[in-house]
Amino acid sequence: MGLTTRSVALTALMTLVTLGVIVLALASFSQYRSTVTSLAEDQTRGLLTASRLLQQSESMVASSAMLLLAENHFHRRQAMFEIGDRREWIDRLASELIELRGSDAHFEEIFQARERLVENLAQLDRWVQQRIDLRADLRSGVGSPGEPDQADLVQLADVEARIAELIRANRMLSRDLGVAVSFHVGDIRHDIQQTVDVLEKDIARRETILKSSVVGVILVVLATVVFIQRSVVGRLVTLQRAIARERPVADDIAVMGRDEIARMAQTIRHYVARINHNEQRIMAMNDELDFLATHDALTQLKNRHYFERTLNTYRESLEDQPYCVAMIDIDNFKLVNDRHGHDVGDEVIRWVADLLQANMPEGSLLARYGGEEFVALFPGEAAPLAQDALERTRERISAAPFVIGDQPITVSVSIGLASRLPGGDYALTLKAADESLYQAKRQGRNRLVVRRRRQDDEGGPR
Amino acid sequence: MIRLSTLKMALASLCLVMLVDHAAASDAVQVELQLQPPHLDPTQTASATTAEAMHLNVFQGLTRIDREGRVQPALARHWAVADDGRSIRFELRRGVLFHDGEVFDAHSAAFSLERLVNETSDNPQHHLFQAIQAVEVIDEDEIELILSRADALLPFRLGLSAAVMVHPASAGDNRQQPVGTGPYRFVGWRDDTLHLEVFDGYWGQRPPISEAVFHFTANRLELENGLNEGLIDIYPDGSSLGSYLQLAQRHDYVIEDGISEGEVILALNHAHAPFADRRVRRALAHAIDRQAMLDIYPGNKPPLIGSHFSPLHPAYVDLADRYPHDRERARALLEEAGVADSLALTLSLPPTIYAELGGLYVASDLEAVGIKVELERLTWGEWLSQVFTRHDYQMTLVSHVEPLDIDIYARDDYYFNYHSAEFRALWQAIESTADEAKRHRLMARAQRLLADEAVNVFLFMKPHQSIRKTGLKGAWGNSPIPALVLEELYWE
Repeated sequence: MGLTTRSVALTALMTLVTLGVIVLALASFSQYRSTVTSLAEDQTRGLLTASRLLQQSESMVASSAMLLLAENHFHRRQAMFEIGDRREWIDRLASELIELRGSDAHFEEIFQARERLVENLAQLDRWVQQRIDLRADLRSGVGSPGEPDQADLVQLADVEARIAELIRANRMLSRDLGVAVSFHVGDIRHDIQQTVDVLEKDIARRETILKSSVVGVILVVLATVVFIQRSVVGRLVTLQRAIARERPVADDIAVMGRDEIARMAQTIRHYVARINHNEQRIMAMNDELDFLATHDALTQLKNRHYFERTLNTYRESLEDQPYCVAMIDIDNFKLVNDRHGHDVGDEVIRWVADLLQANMPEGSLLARYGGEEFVALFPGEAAPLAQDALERTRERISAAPFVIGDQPITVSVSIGLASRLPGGDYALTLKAADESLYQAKRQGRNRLVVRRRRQDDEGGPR
Repeated sequence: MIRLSTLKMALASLCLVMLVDHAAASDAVQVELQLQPPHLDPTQTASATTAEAMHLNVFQGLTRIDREGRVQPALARHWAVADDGRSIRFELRRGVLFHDGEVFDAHSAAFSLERLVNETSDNPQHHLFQAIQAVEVIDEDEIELILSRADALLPFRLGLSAAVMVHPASAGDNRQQPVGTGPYRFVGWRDDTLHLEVFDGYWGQRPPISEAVFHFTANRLELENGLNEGLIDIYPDGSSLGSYLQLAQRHDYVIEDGISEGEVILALNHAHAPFADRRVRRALAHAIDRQAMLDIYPGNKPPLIGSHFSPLHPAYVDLADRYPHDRERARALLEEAGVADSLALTLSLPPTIYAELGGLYVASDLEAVGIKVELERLTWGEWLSQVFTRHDYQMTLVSHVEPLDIDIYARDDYYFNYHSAEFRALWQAIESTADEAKRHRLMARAQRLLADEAVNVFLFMKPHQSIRKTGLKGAWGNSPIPALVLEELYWE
């Protein structure tokens, strides 16, 4: 599975878990809201309504008392207005309660009790009205002036008795109404308590679920961190370390798995291998260029440039040790070229060079100095061996003629040899060897002339 | 990590939503008006409770009356009266929308005014606008009213609830689904509650109160219970509450004294035979102890009146003592009229507290001079239909809150059934008199005429004592017109 796929899968999982927690939280909020709304709007309203209903039912007793105590029609009517208002409100409160709680038989009891009570109060009103009128008659002396009317007195006593009876009934009816309403108050209170209990349990349950979900989210986040550390960061660090070395080695770059990082590591590894390969090729080319810069292409001997650079490099050590220098020139080489052509001439030069090289003592340095001319340096312990080696070589060259095709060509060399001049100056020594070469040429060629030490060598100009 | 931030953000947003929810509810206001309106179109009813809830809240006119009773520009930015007074040109406010998105312009303004002055109009106040002969649309933002005569009161009257602007598309449904241009739009009307909320497309400044719930609690006990429990934020008519003194002591409520334009009268149905006799009417005026009746206001002693006229008006004539409380005189007048001991009357009472309490006093006072009285308690709807519309009553006790409405005595179709050619002529003279001093003299004559005729028993000016929560500010102290202006309320 690719890194992208795994990342997407992990992100999706994290998103799902997070969304799950949010949805759960929102669902919980929503449920609490609806429960609290139900509590506040329905049950609390129901309780308030029932309490008001109870309060109004109980206040009916006060209104009855007001009616009972009415001494005139103003107060009687006022009491009846109040009773009418209470009755109307009780009806509406009861209807509201039915709407909130649904109808059942107990509401019928309220309406019956209320109806009986109001009927009782209407009767009471009629008797109180009569009592007020009778008392007014008695006060104003209607009938026989001065003397209270006996019939009125009897009637008043009868009215008072009826009022007393109605008041007793009124008390019972008020109690009936109060009891019928109280049932609902208690019932609603019980419902509210139950709702609160259920809500409490539900809150506790959801709290646990929510906590577990949060732990789940944390675990998923941790898993993601570990995954990123192991699958991405750790591997990138290893890769970076492998690349950061002075000479990265392809085998050090680990390629694990088949994901994007593995493919990137594979690519880097490939590049490192290619870079290393190219570097080796460049080094080989450098070696070849270096060889070509220091060697003569025809003879494979060191060239004059190399020879002079070497002498320059060792100038100081040459000043402190014995050495000798030889200048070697192929005799009548121009004739060889003219007679046999340049190709043959080149073959002759190569042949002479091979023979010279083959006979040089260890530690010496031979170079092609130009055209048919060679130079040789014999430093340190090689110096005493120089003359023998050169003489032997000259003899071999002249003794065995060079054969090209079926035509022998006689080749000889002249050699000028000079030992280190006092003061050790290389240039003077080389010049001295050159002078000896000229002497060898002048003396008939095919010979070696050693520079003899002269008087003016000491302290001469350098 | 990113997911955790997302979770936090989601939870924070949720909390924010809950806070915003809470904030939205905290700048609401609960208003009590007691009388349930018959419907919600103030151009179609004389019931002041419709105007109180809707005028300047849902509906607006070309002009408006401010808290001091002065005329101010509203949907008309300004107006110019022609030199001869026979036309008024109104420049309308631009960018005004009705709550349903329709644009208010000269055409809708013309429609509203033509509907108002139409002879077949159901507008109970349309007689106030009889001077308007024609409405001409000048352009989209300008209309001109052509008048049959100069009418200096017209800009004032156009600020009354009867003259609010409506749109042709919605006017027919305004009784149940009112659509106006005001700062509040209608949300719902269920049983005894009316719900308004701020209108986002309002042309003016957004008001501080975002929603209002109007309660119409006719039952006095229930109303007082609502106030006692603190469920009501403002009730503009607190003076006759039984628990007035207790509420006045509470620190969470403030009671503010103010004055209204409401004349409280014992209205007599002149079609009822005994009231055709002026002696009977005068007997009633003498029989009623108006001073004692003021006990229904525990914290206020409003002025007594002797005619249908506000003492605040410069043309007011004090006729309060025209019929002093005199039972002997009352009995004598009844005797003269031949109805002594035989007169039985029904007093039909609307459910307002002052009317019910006042009714008890009236009944006792009338009984004290030998008149048998039956009290009939009506709901507001019953009162409007039975008394006000069908004129099926003998006596009623009610307050007339519209300012300067003495003209109702010149109306043949009014529920008093009072027909006086003399008064009609007088009113016509008042209307056609441009000179203010002269007009005031005529108004004084009109007041005297009504008093002499004892057309009704004129009792007292209804006090305007609004009771409101201490933190609720901006309520009108006085009540120059029936309106509870939500736009000016704010919580402190």
